[in-house]
Amino acid sequence: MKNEDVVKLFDSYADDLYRFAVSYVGSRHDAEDVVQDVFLKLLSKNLLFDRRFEKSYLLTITANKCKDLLKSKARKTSVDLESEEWHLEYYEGFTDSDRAVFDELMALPEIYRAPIHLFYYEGYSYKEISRILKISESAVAMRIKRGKEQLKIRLEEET
Amino acid sequence: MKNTIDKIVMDENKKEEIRKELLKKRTKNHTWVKVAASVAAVVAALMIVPFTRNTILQAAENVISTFKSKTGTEIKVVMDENNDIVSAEVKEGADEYIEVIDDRIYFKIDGTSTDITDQCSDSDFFRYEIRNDDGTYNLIYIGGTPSEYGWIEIIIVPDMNQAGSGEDGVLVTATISSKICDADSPQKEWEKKAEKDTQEFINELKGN
Repeated sequence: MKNEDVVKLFDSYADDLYRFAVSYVGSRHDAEDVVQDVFLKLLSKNLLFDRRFEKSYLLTITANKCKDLLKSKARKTSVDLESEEWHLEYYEGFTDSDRAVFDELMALPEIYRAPIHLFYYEGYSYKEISRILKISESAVAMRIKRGKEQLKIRLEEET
Repeated sequence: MKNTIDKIVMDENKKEEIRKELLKKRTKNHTWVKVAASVAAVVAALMIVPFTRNTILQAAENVISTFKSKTGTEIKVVMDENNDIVSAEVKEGADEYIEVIDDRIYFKIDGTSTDITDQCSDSDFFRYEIRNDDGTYNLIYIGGTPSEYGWIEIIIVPDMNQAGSGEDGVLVTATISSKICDADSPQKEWEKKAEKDTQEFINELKGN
């Protein structure tokens, strides 16, 4: 794949992959690094894929990178990733309501955040999510159900 | 929730930094690969070349086939339950089939080196065919001149339908040397002839 082709893919999907990476790893800076690594991998590995599946394929690579990054961070710092303070990284245009929703989303355990993002935001089916995250469909269903329940409780408590 | 997530966008300066990084990064671009799951796509798509294959089933849905060529190139093809190719990953090999010495083209394989200069031109190719023990075929085409040569290696897997690929039951993949790998450059006469030769070979295999 030529450099220009990879840049075209980047322009098409950078924000989608970035949102997914943010929901997965929680950190703005880490999400940027993940997205950059995804597209550098496309170049270095000479990867090609069926254009019909390009977005889900890119999300799969992104999920793998996020997983690697979290493992690496956990090894290096022994920090409880779930306890990090996500609220320090709000985005431009966020209202108070957005901040509240974002805080509660990020407060969910990482294993719930990624499937919830793919299901509710990207609109993927359980089957597609199971391929992207490399977990079983039943695990996807379970995580979405539990994540949704937790989110509902948190948002209700908030209001 | 959607409205909130919509507002999460990557910083424009960071995007520009990544774009620049992607454009300046040099790629080896040794192998240009496309994968076709059906014979009909052979002419349109040039593909990769294996010598051995190892097919496994993943999660009862996706089929992963790994191919290796004698140049060390390895390709992993993933197909879903509908026989659609989901992805293809290529790891480049370290070797080349061609060496040019004193304005002569040599074909190198299995430790041998053969002068094929007189069989190659802009309109003609040298052809090397291998039938492997597992029933697959490798067709190697070399064409051009000592200053502008190239090779195309095709693998044909006649029974690929058993592994879940292709309506015709034939998987054709290829790898192409860097000399002719630019997809935007016009096809040379010898390349067109090589494609025709491949199509005829497949037709014979299918008994057409």
